[in-house]
Amino acid sequence: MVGEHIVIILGMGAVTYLLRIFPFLLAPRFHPRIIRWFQFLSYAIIASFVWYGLVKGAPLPVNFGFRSVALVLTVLVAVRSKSALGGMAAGVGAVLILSRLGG
Amino acid sequence: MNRDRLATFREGARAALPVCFGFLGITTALGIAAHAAGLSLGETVLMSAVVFAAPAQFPAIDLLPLAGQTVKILLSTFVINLRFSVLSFTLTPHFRNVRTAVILPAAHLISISTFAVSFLGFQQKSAQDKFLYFLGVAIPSFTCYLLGTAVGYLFGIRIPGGFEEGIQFVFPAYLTAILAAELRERQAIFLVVVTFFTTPIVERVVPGWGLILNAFIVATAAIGVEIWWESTSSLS
Repeated sequence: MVGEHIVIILGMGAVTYLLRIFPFLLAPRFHPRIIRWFQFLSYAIIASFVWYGLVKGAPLPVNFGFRSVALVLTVLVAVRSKSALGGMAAGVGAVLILSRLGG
Repeated sequence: MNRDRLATFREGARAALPVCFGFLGITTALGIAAHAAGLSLGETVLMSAVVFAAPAQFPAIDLLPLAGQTVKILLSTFVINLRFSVLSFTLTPHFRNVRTAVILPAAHLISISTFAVSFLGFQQKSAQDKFLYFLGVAIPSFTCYLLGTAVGYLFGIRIPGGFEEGIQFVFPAYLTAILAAELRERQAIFLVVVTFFTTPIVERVVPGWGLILNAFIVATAAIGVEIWWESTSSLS
């Protein structure tokens, strides 16, 4: 049973690794327009991920509300201070305080 | 490694700190779930080491103790982790100066978190520094991932309720803050805002695929608008 588990786990690893490496094996030479599209795609994936982080594990609408307020604060502090760490600290601090206050 | 290259690696490692927090939160839960499902410590850590993708690991942990689930586990791993190919494709232009033999082992460390932080850091890096910066982000992140899995399994440590909300918010807050502090290009800012607000709509239509699908749609629309704009400008 344990041996079977190990084989399945290694199989999962092989499947995932192949998915990760095959684009590098193709070693494509992309047209500048495709590279530009990839750049847009990267920003879009990151923005999607921010949205996912906002709703992930938020058990109640009130948690989503806290996080939304904190996200706005994160943007404001990061833009004003031009510091990503400062923005992050403000946002996380806001979530902690609001979730305590909100119960 | 000379001093400049070491500095680039360290810069990446500093940028990885929020990723580590996020990973510790996720993987301690992963370790606890694996323990509860009856997996051994070795199996649990091995899975984190070779898969390095929590969304694929959680369902596998539930299915592994059941008999005859091999095909289902491998298929779900494939489908859930398809997104890694998109991320790798997106990274290929950035690593074009690096030999494929060097990239292949490092490609194992690509996750949405290590990709996002690296990509945003790439904007201020020369072509030579990008790969080192990626390693600086990815190696400590991977280490935290393994550490969190083992700690969760061995000690069953849960993050106290009051802090869980904060820990979960560290990584999205960090990405948002980098975008807000660093992003200057008008088209990219517009694209980020549009994606953010359209993702929940697409996710509702195609649950589980909305994040990637919407990113594809918005990026393609953006490049279409850019081509149209350029052709219109050149005509006038």
